[in-house]
Amino acid sequence: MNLRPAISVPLPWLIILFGKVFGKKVAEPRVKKRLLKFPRSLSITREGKWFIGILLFIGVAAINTGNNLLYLVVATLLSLIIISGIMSESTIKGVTVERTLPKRVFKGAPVVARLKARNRKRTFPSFSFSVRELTEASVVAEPAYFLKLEPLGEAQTTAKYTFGERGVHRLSAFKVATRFPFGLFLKGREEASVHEVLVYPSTKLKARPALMPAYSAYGAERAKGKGNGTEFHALRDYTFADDSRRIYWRSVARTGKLSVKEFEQESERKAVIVFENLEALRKGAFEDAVDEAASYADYLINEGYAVGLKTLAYEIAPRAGKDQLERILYSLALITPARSKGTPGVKVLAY
Amino acid sequence: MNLNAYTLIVTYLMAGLGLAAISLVESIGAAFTLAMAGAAAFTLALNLKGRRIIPGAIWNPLAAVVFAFFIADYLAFSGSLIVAAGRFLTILLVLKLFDLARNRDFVIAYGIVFFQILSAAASTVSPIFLIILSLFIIGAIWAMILFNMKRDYQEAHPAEKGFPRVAFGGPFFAYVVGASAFSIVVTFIIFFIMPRMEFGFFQRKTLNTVKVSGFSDRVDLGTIGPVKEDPTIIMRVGINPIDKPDGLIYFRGMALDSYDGKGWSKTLKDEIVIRRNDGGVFNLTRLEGRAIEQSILLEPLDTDVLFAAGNPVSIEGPFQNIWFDRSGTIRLPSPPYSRIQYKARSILSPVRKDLSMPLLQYSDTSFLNEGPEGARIKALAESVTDGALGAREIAQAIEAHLKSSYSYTLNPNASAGLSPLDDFLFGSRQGYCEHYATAMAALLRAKGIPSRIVTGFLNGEWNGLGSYYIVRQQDAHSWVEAFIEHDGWVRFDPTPSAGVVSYSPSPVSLYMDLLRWRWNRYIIQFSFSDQRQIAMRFEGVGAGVFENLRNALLEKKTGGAASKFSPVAVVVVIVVGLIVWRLFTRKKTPSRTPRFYAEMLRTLKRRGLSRKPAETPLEFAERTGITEVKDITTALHIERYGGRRLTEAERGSVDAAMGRLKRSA
Repeated sequence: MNLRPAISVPLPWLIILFGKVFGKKVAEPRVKKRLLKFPRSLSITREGKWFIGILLFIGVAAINTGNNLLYLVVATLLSLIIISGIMSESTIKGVTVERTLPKRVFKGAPVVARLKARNRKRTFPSFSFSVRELTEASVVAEPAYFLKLEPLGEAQTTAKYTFGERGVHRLSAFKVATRFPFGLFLKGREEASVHEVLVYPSTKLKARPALMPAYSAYGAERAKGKGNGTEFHALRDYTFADDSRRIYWRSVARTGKLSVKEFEQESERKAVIVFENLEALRKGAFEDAVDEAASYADYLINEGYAVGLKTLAYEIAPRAGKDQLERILYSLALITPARSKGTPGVKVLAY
Repeated sequence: MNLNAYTLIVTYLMAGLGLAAISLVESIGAAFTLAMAGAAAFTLALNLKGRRIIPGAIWNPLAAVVFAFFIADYLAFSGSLIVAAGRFLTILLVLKLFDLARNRDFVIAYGIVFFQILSAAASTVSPIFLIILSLFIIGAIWAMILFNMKRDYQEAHPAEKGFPRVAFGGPFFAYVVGASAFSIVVTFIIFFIMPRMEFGFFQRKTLNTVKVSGFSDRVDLGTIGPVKEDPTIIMRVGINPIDKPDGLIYFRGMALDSYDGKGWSKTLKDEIVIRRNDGGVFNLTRLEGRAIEQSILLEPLDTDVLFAAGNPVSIEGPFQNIWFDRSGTIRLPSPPYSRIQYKARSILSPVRKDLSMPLLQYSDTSFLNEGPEGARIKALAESVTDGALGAREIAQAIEAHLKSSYSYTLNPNASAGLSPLDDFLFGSRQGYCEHYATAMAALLRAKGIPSRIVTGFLNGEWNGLGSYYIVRQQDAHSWVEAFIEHDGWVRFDPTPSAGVVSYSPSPVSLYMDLLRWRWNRYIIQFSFSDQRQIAMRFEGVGAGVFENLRNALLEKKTGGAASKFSPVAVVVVIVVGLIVWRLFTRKKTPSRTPRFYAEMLRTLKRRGLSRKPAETPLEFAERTGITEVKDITTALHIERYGGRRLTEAERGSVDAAMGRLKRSA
């Protein structure tokens, strides 16, 4: 009798079963972390300490006298602690939080974030809880307070955020905390909510840049404003003063209204911010230099300059307009020091 | 109604609870409580009008003055810390009611009420306490939640003065009541499992003891009469209903041996000290017969005698040691001055099988040898027992004679110049149990039969709802024990049946007393031994369940009758099965597929469209060719892989698409 097929057919399943029964379980790091970490934080408030003190006092009196009514009072106080635990749990459980930050965030400048809390429980409302961003030390975020969320309800509020450092910030979680119901304990829970924010350097101008004349290949100065450049500026209604050749037909087809396209004036005044991004010896010097460069870029663009950026690693060609400012700030937000050490410096060359 | 009005109402309800609690404290007069209630009502009127006559600044000095009064009260007047503290707290509460402005004032008022309730707890045993405590829990939970929320809100919005309406009203009140009900349930669970000591170190004494007569070393004739109309409860005796005797039950107190013409006294000093055995039981004596267990709750009495039905054989209770004499009297070393609970086991037979020769004191007839009265009694004894042969017949003849020839009354007309016994036998010929029993003992001794008087209680009121006797002062009784050779000491009761108090209680009063009995039995007197009993019962139940399970399984294996399968075992199997099922089907990690996509897949499956394992969501959407499916799949991609939540508008369109999909299905 040939037994081979009888064994070989179920063999793969047998091996899988064997593996499941005797195999070493591979713990997912996420799960492991959760197991090690207690999922709730708890601290006792001043009132809670009084409460527990009185409870202990009456407990001692009850044991001393054997008086069952004192035991009953002790049991009442203990039951209040228990239902406090249950009710606070029911408040912070199932609450999710989302944040919306403005598009442009500058270092050191407070921004208003919109925080939206949602109660995902079907039967129980959530009462009186606060939501605080769990962040690194450089970010200061005000807590937000919600008085009540109905079952499956949501509410939103605003909170001031201030980022102390430029670059990419990863906001990963909120702390949902409450003193509900009796104010005896402060119970908190972490609610993951991931959001990445790019923080631009500060553009606060400390001193006007000293423009150093440069003999340039970029040409002479011209007036600021709309002109005959190539960058799109805006769309506006056609007037009889306009040259009919400049009617923007695609928009006409779309809206049925005659309009003309205006172009950004090709700036005649050009400036290049030269940033020697050397690794600073003094702490903070590099960041100061980044801020300085950013503030110059902001100032010069607003003055109507075509601004470029030149660092030890790369170069952005001069151009005018808000887009260009965005480009420069983006690059400054992410800039890292070059390998060589020295004193980082910022110069502005004007053409 | 606005929040302030609610708060005011709750505050006054709480203050009312505090005053009610204080009225439970012993020896705080009703006058004081009423005066304080009046003052509180006055403050309510002021608060409703929004007027304040005591400025807040005066409050602290006033409180200090009241505190000085409290010290003086404690040292000079009441001498009791609880009474003085109760008065102090009450005055403080009323003062606070004059000055209700900030949140803090309300919180202080509630705190004072809590301590008032605490002082009541330390002093009272009344079941009303439970009602007060329960109402206080509701009020306190309401107040604590509200004040805490208000404070949280004001901390978060410092600029705002008010507090939004969301946090109170009907649903919120229901929430509070639910939480309170839950809290009360939890309170009782904790109460019963909280570990107890075997003894309290300082048992609470009360000064309000019940004065009882007939249970001291000397009892003058005529002392029981006055209490025969007093309905004060002396004790409650719980008996297993199947053990309840059909006839009357005699609760034995004390036996007295010597009569001197005016009263009975105990001259024998034959008491021995009995110590607890390892099981916590005092074994008194060995007697044959079936012993019946009684659970006795004794009110605070001014006697050291312990009562038990019939002939007690053992006692179990929170005592260090007890005294016991050969006649069957149980005494404590000193009166307990507190409510005590103990268990007694007794043989209800009227015969005490103690065949040892009775001591000489029981045959003492010296009182018969003086004066003409002795001769008359001896002559009466001869005439009554004429023809009777043995001691038993003689005793029965005397008993029958007394029962039939004398009239029972609680107010005998005393004839001048006669001793109580002489008056009863030959003068007025009327009397109550003491006279009957004394006469019988005298007649027995005249005939040379050893006898003694026993004082105790007869029967009482049976409460079938809780299966216990309610024994009152008016059930006090005395009877006779005579020594009959070969039998031992036999009980005789010469009092006619008119001496038995009859009760016709209303069901309501029985229920009320049942509540009081249960409250005393399971709350006030709850003890370590009760906990041990509960634990043992649970152990027994657990063992029973396993036994049932084992039997059921064994029978199943051997093909035995399935009908014997115990319902408990079935429940256990179901519960275990559910737990196992829960354990094995629990998801290890929550699915990351958004709920709406899963819902869409289910809807499509019902239409016979299901995603193949190898298909990506996009391929599947293409295959179905349904626009809604494509839209929902796009939303899936945004939420699952796009790293952001859907916006409101997107969410709405997903819901709309889902609706269309379902309708078309």
